[in-house]
Amino acid sequence: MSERHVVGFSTYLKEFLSSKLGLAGLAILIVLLVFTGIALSIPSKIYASWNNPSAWKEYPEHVPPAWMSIFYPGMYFTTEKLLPTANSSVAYGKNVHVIIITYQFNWTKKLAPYNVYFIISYNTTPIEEIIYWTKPDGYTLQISVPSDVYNTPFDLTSIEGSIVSYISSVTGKTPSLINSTVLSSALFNSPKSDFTVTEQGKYLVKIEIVSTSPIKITASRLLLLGNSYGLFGTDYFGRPLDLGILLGLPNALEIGALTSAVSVIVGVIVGGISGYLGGNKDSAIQWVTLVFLALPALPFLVAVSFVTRPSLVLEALLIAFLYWPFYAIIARSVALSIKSNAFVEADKLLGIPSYRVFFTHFMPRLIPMTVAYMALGVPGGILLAQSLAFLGIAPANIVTWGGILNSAYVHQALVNGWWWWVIFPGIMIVIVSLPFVFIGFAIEKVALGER
Amino acid sequence: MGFKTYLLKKVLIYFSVLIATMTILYIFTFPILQQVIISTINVDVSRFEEALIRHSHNLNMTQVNIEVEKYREYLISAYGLNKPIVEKYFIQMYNLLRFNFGDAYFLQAPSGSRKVSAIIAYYLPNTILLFTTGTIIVIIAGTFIGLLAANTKIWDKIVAVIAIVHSSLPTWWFGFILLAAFAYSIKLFPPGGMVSIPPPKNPFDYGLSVLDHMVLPLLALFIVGVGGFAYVVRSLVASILKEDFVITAKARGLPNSTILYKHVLRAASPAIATQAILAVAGSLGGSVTTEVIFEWPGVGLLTYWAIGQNDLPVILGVTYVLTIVLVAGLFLGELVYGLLDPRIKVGE
Repeated sequence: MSERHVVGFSTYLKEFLSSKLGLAGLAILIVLLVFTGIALSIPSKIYASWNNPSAWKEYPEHVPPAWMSIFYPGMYFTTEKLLPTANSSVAYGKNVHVIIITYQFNWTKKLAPYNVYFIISYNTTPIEEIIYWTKPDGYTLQISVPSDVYNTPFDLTSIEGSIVSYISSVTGKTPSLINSTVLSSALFNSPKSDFTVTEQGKYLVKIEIVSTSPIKITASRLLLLGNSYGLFGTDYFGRPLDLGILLGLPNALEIGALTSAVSVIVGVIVGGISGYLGGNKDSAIQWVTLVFLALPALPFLVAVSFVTRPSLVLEALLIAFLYWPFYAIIARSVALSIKSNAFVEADKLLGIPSYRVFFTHFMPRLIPMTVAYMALGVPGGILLAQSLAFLGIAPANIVTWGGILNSAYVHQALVNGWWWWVIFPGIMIVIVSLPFVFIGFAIEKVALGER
Repeated sequence: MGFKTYLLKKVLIYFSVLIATMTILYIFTFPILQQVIISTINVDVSRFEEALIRHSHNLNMTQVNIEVEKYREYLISAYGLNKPIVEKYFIQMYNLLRFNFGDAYFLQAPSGSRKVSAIIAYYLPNTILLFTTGTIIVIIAGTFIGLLAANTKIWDKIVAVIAIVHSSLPTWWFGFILLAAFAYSIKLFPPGGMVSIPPPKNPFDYGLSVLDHMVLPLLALFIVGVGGFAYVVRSLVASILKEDFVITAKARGLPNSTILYKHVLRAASPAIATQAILAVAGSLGGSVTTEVIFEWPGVGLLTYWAIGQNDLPVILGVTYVLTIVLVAGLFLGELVYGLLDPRIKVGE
């Protein structure tokens, strides 16, 4: 035991680097840090817009990941962004200006798009805005755009009136459920099949805008939304989960690292001194440790968060405030075993001052343990912070995986079969915790030997 | 020092710990506690006013108002609101220790009572049922696996893996996954709640239904929890295996299993028992999120409802009750340690 303690830092490092577990942990950690760098380069505007559902209208809602098409070829596709093929403007006299934006595309998929999203912006207030939707069979559906969505991007649900009357004119009844899928199938499926089979071929979409003053188009795009998106799919509001998970990475690591560093350092110092001093002072410190140990972590943090909405740093400090007793107990037992060594007795007999004994014999021997528990303590902080976020308690303006999982719970993702919304944020909590557990176990083995 | 002295000493220590812990909680939650007390007083006063108007017709409005104000003054001093801080602390702490947490803002117990203590008293047994059962299963299996791990290489590896699982997997998220697999994909178990709706009349069927609803939460608690406990037992046992009496027993040629289950387990049992009680008490605090996922009607789900509705008295009440439960658990652990450890029993 004592021989292991004489070895220096470089030997520790060499031994650590020869441990497969430690290397695996280090590799995962480096990958995570690279992604953290990417996440931190994302402008704060995007972080702030996460909780604003209207910012994510361009994305299809609750669709699975794009790679689902590997397993179900032809069933899943992603969003197609179309630019106008032609813009023609005509002026009839001085006061009537007409502009026609033309989109042309070839639809060959077996399914209709998830939704259609129209982006048109211009500089005036129009009198009239009409969409002419021509199907491959030549039939043209005329849709007049309601005035409340003039000059703003809109999707099919904003213009459902004309489409629903078209559906009922073909099928003879109004659909009981009107959502984007039903509306989109009216535009893309053949009326002969009661809108169950897509019409493949060339589609022509003309948007006619009539105004009293000259019109200048500043942006125009047609989005045929896919029924799958990105690496991890989207949630109920169309928010891409791959982005959300990336945005949640920096704060998860920060809170875990900060919590662990503070609680372990405080715990080791308190526990080390307690074990070193012994006697009445030891009993008193143990009593204090017990007092803090008796605070139930999650309920305590919930209650305190109603007193002040904590910031990220404050939340980490509060968690550390609850966790240090665990490390104090461990450090105390380590200190007690150091104290039983003969060299401590010898130093005391030689009259060396006690603070020097503490710094020369105790602290160096407590450091390996401190490093190991700093790594092992990170997942605890991460898990607790994410649990709090799941309960709806998180610092403002940050994206947390626990928060994403909470909205999955609130919107009944499991009942609706939106598995991607539940699986990926949770797996990330595990993936972020794992490297620290690996590294911690490896250091523990190297520095402390088999416990 | 016999067991009685030990007991007395521990009672004193843990009572002081309880007071100190509650004081920390009191300091941290002071602003919302005052808010809760004011609202409780307001509710009480308006109730008093209503009763006064209904029953005493001989009083005119001014007299009623005077009476009401008198009652309000009485309550304010009873709750210590107008007292200096030290006196206020003693009065309010006394109330808290008597489980007087005031009235909930919105939530109520099925009996219709608004008293926070009554609401918690209704939900706490459900939490204790689920989490004590879960932790007991974890303790038994964990002790067994830990003993195996101290003795066999394969189990040592397995314990390392499940210990990693334990420290990186959130129980509640794992519960989500179990629900997705066993309640929604293959409809083997109910997707939440405590009994089927409507509850069966026959007590036997009722019990079966509760058991059916407990399977998935218990499975989640077991898979996530067992690694941590097995790891602790393994290190405890490993340190005992190095002791002289084990080496003597080996020299005497006793079979390995006898040494492990008779000598080592006996020596390790006080420490294991302490860990076990710590685990039971600790599991109640961690119950909040797991109960939410499984919609188990315990204090955890109650807290979640309270968070959603900003029902501060309930949140405070649950926190204080769980703190008291945790201190009581720690105290019990110490007692069991004293009972099992022969050195304390004999009086060393």
